[in-house]
Order: sequence, then structure tokens, then C-alpha cells
Amino acid sequence: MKKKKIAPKILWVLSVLTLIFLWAPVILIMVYSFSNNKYGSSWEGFTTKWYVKLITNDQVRDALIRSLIIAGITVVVSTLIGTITAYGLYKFNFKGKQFLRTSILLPIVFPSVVTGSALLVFFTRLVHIPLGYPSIIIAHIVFCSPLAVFIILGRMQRFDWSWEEAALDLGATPFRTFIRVTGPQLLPAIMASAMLIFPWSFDDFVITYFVAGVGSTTLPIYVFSQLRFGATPVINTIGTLFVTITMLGLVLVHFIQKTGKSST
Amino acid sequence: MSGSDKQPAVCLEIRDVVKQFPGVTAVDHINLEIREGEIFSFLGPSGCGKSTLLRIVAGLENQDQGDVLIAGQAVNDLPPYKRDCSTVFQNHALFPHMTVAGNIGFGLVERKVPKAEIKKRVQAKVDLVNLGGMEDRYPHQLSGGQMQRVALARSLVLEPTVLLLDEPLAALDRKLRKEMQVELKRIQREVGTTFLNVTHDQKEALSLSDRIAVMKDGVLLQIGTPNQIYETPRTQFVASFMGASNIFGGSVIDSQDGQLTFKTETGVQVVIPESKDIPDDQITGFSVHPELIDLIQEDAAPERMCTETDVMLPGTVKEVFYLGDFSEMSVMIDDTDIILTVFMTRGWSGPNMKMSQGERVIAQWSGDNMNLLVG
Amino acid sequence: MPPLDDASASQSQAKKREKRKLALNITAYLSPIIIIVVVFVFAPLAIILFFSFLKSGPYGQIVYEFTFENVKAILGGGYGKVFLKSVYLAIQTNLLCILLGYPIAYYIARFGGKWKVLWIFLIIVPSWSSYLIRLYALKTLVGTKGTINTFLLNIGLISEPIQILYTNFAVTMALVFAWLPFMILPIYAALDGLDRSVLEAATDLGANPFRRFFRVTLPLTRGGLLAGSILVFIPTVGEWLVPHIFGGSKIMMAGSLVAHKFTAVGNIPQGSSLAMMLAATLVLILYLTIKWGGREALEKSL
Repeated sequence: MKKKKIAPKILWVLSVLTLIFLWAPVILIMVYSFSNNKYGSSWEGFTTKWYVKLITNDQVRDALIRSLIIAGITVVVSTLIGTITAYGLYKFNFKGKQFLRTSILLPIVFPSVVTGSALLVFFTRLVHIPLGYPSIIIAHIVFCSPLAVFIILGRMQRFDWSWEEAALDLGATPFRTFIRVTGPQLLPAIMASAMLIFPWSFDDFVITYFVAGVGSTTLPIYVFSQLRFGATPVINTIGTLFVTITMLGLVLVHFIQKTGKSST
Repeated sequence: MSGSDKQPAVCLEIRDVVKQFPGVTAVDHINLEIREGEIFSFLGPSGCGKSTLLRIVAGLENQDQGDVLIAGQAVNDLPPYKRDCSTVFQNHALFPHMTVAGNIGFGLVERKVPKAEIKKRVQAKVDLVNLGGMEDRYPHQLSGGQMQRVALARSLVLEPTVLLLDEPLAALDRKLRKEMQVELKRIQREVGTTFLNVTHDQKEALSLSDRIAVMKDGVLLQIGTPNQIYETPRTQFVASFMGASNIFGGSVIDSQDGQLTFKTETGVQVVIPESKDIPDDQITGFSVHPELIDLIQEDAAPERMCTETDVMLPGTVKEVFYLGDFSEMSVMIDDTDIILTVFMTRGWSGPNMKMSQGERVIAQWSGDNMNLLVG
Repeated sequence: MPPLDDASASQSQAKKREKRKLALNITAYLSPIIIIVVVFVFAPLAIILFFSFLKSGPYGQIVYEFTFENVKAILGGGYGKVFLKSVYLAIQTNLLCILLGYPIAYYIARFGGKWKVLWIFLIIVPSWSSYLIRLYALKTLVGTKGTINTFLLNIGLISEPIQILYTNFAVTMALVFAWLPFMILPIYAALDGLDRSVLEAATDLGANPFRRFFRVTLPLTRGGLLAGSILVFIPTVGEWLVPHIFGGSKIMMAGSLVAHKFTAVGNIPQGSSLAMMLAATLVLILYLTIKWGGREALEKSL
């Protein structure tokens, strides 16, 4: 009897320690973002002045706007491509499909430095796409659409395709079928993939760093440029906002998927 | 059936339809006419091509060859949404994001029927399938039987020439299935629409259909009324699929005075009356339904008069399975390896119900009850 | 036999029609992704493969002269050691992640109860939060002027800050810190999907909890372990930020070499050859994984 009770307890302790390991640094910078200490590395009383400073910092604002524009465009385009690609991959069988699926995976499985450097060389030496918005957005679409493809494909595999047949059978054209039945049914997956792509694009540092060129500082690149100064209160506030927004986003995704599930 | 003088018009015709999938011929040169107002069933084991044939009629699958005609019009090139037929799917395929009323009205919206009329027609069908008061529920709030009713109403509201039912009752439990069979029949009588039903359940096909087509490996084996299919199956497969467990392969070795002498593969000789329909040399076997065989205790002298074509075979009771309303017995016929299956109903007032394992018996049946097989 | 000819002709016509329809559909749905894959994945890879065999001029320009030098530098020279070190660190990280990840995944799956969602949430958030910010946060904690050192100095336990940064320990810790959530989640998914009755059957057949774990639970969650390992191993091999931030110039990994050549030195041929070698290493590893564990595990791991 005693043995049985002690195992979960040991596991609990291990689990809590692991969680602390994962969370302590993050919580620390969240706390420090409200600390008066000007190096942002110890507690010296409560303040919100770093947040004020963050809002009034032009560099940060520019970088933030740039990151939002890039992530916004990436989300829309990647989700669109992801949706039609997933549909095509699910619906049709053809020679080379397995090869195509594997190829789509490449941008995700290759190390970011490989994708980043290959794209940089491609943009500068072969096709001369200007470094900046165009190169960054293309690069982001390249590594984000595969994610959308596989999220939506996963949903399609659990999708009841007789709905589509029923709609056709009841007199809806393929287009009307998509509008009235297939679309609404896939919407949760499409939304979820959009919600997950956003942070992927918004947070990406490595690939962006390679293809950004001069003067296209995104928020992660700004953070990176500040890193060599060690801890700074402004980065603490950025970090706090990042984590908070991620949490809110995940809660939202959770609810979207929940409503998606309850209606199937 | 062929004898009736005024036949209803043909409303669905299948002409020489072939469909191949990689490695299998799912539908193999099938020809078929289905008449207005009948309940017609495709019956066969899973994988026999019956669902594929239905999907070809619906337009959800394209045939490689042949024509489908609905109300005399070839629909080969029409997509499903332009065909005058509607399908009730096996898993009902209700739209989860629409209410009962929304589901039933789906097709009417596509046909741009005015709102007020949609409401009226939906209500009529809701009443027809006894779902009054549930109009605003969502599919996940319904039971399996109710969902199937919605699917039925959703198709019927379009007043199709043919209603296609793809194993509509397969997903329901036994009791509900029985109930829905009765419902289906009632609804069909009420609306008069032609029903084309697909099923693997022979009991369902027998009780529901006006006519049945038995399929196997993409081929039509036999078409007929439930009576014909059950009582005079033409092939070994149909016979066994319809539950005639006593099937004997063999051939006719002698013929005189309208009597045939038939020798089974295991060497038993029986005399059977000649058939008007089948030439002697085409007969490849015969079958007897288990409920048509009598068992008589050997020491009790035969009380009944025997005609010349009565078959009497001595044997031993091997097993008795008591099943309540009847008992199933297996009887090993002497000097052969034939095991007969015999049903004894409780209502039979002989001593036979008390027969037990090891008992010596005579299995007896009338030659008129033997059904000749040709394949 | 004319009717038969006729039939087979119409049949082949139907087949042809279907084929044309399929081609049309594939073009309609899949051309965007095919363009992406061909133009923005294959072509760039081909270019850097080409550049791998070129020389670099003194000012970073590319000299169009064929050479094996870059490849030699990797296979025979100091760069090769960096590659080996990367693979070693990746394996080490992977094992540590399993060691740390399995217990917590097991705890959540078995004993999580009504708190399951919260536990999982607390694992998922780090996996989706900005990776750069998380590394920055870890550095804040363990740096020379970081929280741990400041605290220890203040209470007088040490008189000089402990050097944590720029050690093997720091790099390993940061790698585990960065990728651990990606090991926990697939293991959890595998454990959560385990049929409880199988475990009960094992107990019923006389396996004690310890034996049961090794004979039933572990083999049945192999898929999750494999998926987690793919998710952890792949990015770790090509890691750049972690060695950059936690290893400084002392501890280099393959990814940091590539980044260094491209962004700091500007030697494109050498950078290209290093990137190609890194890609090749990964393709080899992936190939072995697919062969050993099946493609499903790889796709499921996404």
C-alpha cells in the first residue's frame, strides 16, 4: 500500500521541478519588467515605467509594426496555400504524391540556418529579390505554409467526407458545397493553423536574420541586437508581452478547437 | 411479377454498367430496370459492388462504361447536384452545423425555393417522419434513429424520382432497425417514391422490398420478388446467402416419367420431380430449407403417407441447439458425410422437440420442396 | 468482335477523361505549393550546392573556379570536429530530454486528473513562446551578473560569480531548456492514448509495476519517444542561437559555423558547403529514422 502511494509523489516532485526549470527564467523576466532596477536583473520596487518607455521607443515601435505586417501577410497567404494544398493532397492520388509530401516537409525539418542561408544566396545571387519586406515575407511563407498544410490535412483526415457528398447529392454545386458545408466544417482547423502560424512568423529570428538585409529590423532582430548588452528592462517588457500574448492565443485556439469538436 | 398485365413505368434503368477499381471489377456489366413506386433492394455481402452501383446512380462515382437513365433520360454526364435522385447515406451525413430544419431545407435553398415555401415543405416532411418539435435541434442532440429520419426527410423533401438508400439501417441496433424498417415501409407507401435500397441483411431485404437483386463480385446473380429469391434461389451462392443451409451439388443421372434421379457429389441418390424451367443437363444441385425437413424417430414407424418423390434418409442427431422459438438440429446422414440442418418449431406438436443427441432418426422432405440450382 | 472493341474504346475514353480531370485538379490545387517547393526550396538548395564547390576571393566575392577545398575542410579539418560535437550534443540533449520529459509526461497522463489541461497548457506555452526571449530569460538567470550569481554573492555563499556561461554545461542546459517541451508533448500524447486495460492485463498476468513499465508501457509509447526525438534532435543539430548566446566563441556548433560564415565573415562558398553538409547530415538522419521508425512517426511528430 505504502509503495503505491509514494510513486506518484516522487513523480509529482520531479514534474514540478521540471516545470520550475521551464518557467523560472520566464517568470523572472516578467517580474523584473516591473522592477525599478535599471539593469532589469533584480527587484528594486514596483514600477511600470519600462512599459511607458517601450511604447515611446521608436525603434521598438517600428520593429513591432514591421513584424506585425510580415506576420499578418504570412498568416493569410500561408493559410490559403495550406488549405488548398491540404485539399489537393487529401483528395487526389497521383504519382509523386509521397515525394511532394516529403518535399513540403523540408523547410520545417531543415535547420533554420540552412533554409536561411540558402534563401539568402538565392535572393542575392540568383533572382535579386530585394532584401527587406519581399525577401522576409517569401521566406516566412516558405516555412509557414508547410505547417498550415499539415495542420489542416490532419483535420481533413478526421473529416467526414460524406457531408460533402450529401451536399452535392442534395443539389449544391461544388462551389456552394464548399461555402455551405466543407468550409464551415474546416474553419476551426483553418483558424487554428492561422493562430499557430502567427507566432511562428512573428517570433522567427534565424531565417529572418539571414534574409532581412540592412534596415529591416523585426522585433526578434531588435531583441537580438540588444542581447549583447545583457539584461535590459525594455526587453523584459517585450518578453512579458510575448509570453502573455502567446498564452492568450493558446487559450483562444483551445476554445476554437473545442467549439469545432462539439459541432462534429 | 412478370405475369401482371399493367406494369408501372420504368423510372430507373441501368444499362451494361461497368466500374473498375485498381485490381477489382466492382460492377460488372449490370443491366437492370426499376419501376416506379417499388422498393427495390441490392442485396449482397460487403464488397459485392452494391454500394458502388448506388453511387454510380447518384453520380458520386463515374462508371467506366454503360448508361444510367433516370425517368428515361441518360444522366451519365450529369454531376450529382443535377440528378433527379437523392441519397440517404449509411452514416446519415447530417450537416453538424445546421439544425434539423436547416438540414431538411438544405436542398430547397439550393433550388432557390422561396423561404415561406421552404418552411411549409420542411414542416410537412418533419411531420411525415414524426420529428415534430425537434426542428431546432442539432444533429448531435439526436439519437441514431432520429438522425436517420432527418436524413430521410432531407432527401424526400426534394421529391426525387428515385430515393437511394445506402445501408440506411446498418448503423442502428437491432430493435431500432426493426422499427425503422416498418417506418420506411410506411413512409414509402405514403409518398409513393421509388426506393432503391442497398443492404447486406437478407432479413431486411425480404421484409422491406418489392423486388430484390442479389449481387456478388460485381455481378447480378438473381432478380426477383422476396418469395422467389428465398424459395427458389437459382445458384448455390444465393441459396446459402438466403439461409438455405442444406445445399447439395451433383448432377442428374437419369430421367423418366417426369422424374429425375439426382446423384449428389457424395453419392446419395434422390428422386426429384422434373422442372419445367430448367433443362436436366443444367441442373448442378439442389437446396432444401431447414424448416421444410421433418425428423421422425426411427423406431416410430412412418405415420405419414409417402409419395414417390419424398426423400427419406436415415441418420443420427449430432447436435441440438435450443433457440427458444425453435431448435436447430444437425443430423448426420448414414454412410455419407452429409450433415443436414433442420429447424423444429415449438408449435409442431410431435415428440420431436424432445429429440436429443445420438437419437436415430429419419429425415424426410417432400420432393416439391426441393429447389433446383443451376450454378 | 465489334461490340467488344466498342466497349473497350469507350472504357479507355472514360479513363482518359478521368486522367485529364485529375491533371486539371492537381494543377488547380497543388501548383502554389509545387512552385514554392521547386522555386524556393529546391532551387536555393541547388544554388548552395553549386556554390559549395567554388572559391572565395579575398574580399568575400565568389571566384567561379571549381574546388573541393571547402568539402575537405569539413571532412578532414577542424570543422569536422564541430560537426561531430554538434551530433554529440544533440544526442546528449535528446537523452536528457527523455530522462526529464518521460516522468512529467507520465505523471500528467496517469495522475493529472482534473489538472491535466493546466499541466499541458504550462508545457505548451513555452513551446510556442518566442524561443529567443526564452533563451534571453535563461541567460538573465544564469549570467555572470545574473540572478543566481547575484543571490549567491549577496548571501555570501560565494565570493566570486560562478562562471556558468560559455561552458559545456550552459550549452547543454540551454538546449534542454529550449527543446524539452517538444519531447514531453508527444510522449504525453502516446501515454494518454494508452489503453488502460492493457496495463491492467499486464498486472493481472503477474507483472509488477516496474516490470510492467519496461515490458508494456515503454514499448507501447515508442512512437511518442520517436516523435519527440525527431522534434528535439533535428533543431538541436543545426542550433545556432544557443551556442551563440551560451557558448560564445568557446563552444561552436555546426549551425553557428554556417551563420558565422554567412553573417560575420561573408564567405559564401565556405558557408554554402557547411550548410550543405549540415543538410546532408540531417537527411541521412531522417532517412535512418524513417527506415527505422516509419514515415508516420515523422509526420505525426508535426
